[in-house]
Amino acid sequence: MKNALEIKDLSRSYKDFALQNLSLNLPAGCILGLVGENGAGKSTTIKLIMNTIHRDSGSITVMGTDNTSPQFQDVKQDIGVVLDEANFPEVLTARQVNKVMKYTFTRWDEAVYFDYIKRFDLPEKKAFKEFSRGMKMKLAIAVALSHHPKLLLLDEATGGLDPIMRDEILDIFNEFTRQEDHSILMSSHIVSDLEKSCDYIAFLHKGRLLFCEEKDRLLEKYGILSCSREELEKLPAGTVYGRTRSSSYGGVEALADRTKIPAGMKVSHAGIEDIIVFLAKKEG
Amino acid sequence: MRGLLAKDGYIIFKQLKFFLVLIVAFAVIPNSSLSGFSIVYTAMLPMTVMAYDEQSKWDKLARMMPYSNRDLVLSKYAVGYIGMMGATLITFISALVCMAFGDGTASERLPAILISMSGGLLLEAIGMPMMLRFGVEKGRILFFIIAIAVTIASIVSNSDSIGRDLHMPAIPGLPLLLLVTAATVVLNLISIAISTRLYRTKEI
Repeated sequence: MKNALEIKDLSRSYKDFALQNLSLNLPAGCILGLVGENGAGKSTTIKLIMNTIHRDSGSITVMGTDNTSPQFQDVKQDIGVVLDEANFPEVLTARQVNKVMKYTFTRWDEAVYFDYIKRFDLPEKKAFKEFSRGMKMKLAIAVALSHHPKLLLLDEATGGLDPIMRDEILDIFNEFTRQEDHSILMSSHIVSDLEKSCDYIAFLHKGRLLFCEEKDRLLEKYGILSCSREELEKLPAGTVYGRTRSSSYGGVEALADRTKIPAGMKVSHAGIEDIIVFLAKKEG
Repeated sequence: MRGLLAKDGYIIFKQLKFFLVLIVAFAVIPNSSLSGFSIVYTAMLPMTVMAYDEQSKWDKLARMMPYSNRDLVLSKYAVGYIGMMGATLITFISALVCMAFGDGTASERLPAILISMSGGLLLEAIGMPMMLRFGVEKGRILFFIIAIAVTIASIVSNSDSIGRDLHMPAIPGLPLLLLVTAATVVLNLISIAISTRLYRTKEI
């Protein structure tokens, strides 16, 4: 399987934050969810992928092309980007955005664009400044999908959308990756969105990648162990990850490796959010 | 670049209607200094468009689209040039009409147009790198200081009495004017190169 995105040893330092030695791959045809707290480095990673900021070290290959090469300019025709804000000048209407994008993307498809505008129930002649945040994000998503991209980079793209619309948008993203050369890198705070749609989850914490694994593997590997503090202390090293939390019945809960937990102990399902919260606490 | 110009065009026609009316009104007034204002004012169009871009953080998205840094910079200069061409054309037609009715001669009116055009080009050459380096807010203040200086210089050079007092020819000769215009064109080429470099290294 080819990779749509290959990041190797990527670093970028700011005064008060550093993205350190990030390495990850996004296989073609897959959705990779990038999760992390505010300031973990998600947006910095997306900017570095699009080469709009300078890196200190490392390399990035997007659909087989080094993103610092002159050829990357052509590769951008195959990339749809949605940022945490829609970023269109506020006086423009959806109809005018179509004209601007028609002259921007060589494979801009007006029919697809206006289909999305209709599907998302967006007004064609209303100025962008009169849109709600959800409407703005929907317009940005419509633009990102209307030039037949092969890679979507979504930075908090579902933020501001109501749960029903979020669900519909996630379905559109899943539909998009049905074609084997279509891939998505999606950053979000809404872990349930990532859990629902992603094949891989990458967890960035304070500029470091704590893991990048197949979602199903994560869900198989980890469980929430519920026991007393004494039982927990008797467990072999490496069974439990991160700090514990008090459970409602007086004992403790901890993230544990299911394969290492002795038989008879109570283990429940660990969702991606649980895994992330426990691991983030471990790192402090 | 067509997409960028289309976007800038929509902003200008939607937000700057009054500004455009003012430019056209000044251009058709049969007075060399006011016509000059019209041309010089158009040099401010890119700055206004950049202010709207900055407000919506458009550049953050634009840099991720298939526009080169050069296109993103050039499109802003192009807005000024297109505006200046339009204002110059209207001023020129207005001058021709005035001359047809016996108001002024070609040797008086045409140099004034060339001086104003050079002033506009000079403002754009100096103003654009400042906008990119310092942002629209700070750049705008610096731009206005320079614009006022250029406008005063333009009035002085267009005024017969002041020109005589300063022992300057009221209207400079055509070779000198063409040289000045050529110099402002060269300055613009240097300015574009500087702006492109500044934009490339600027992180948004």
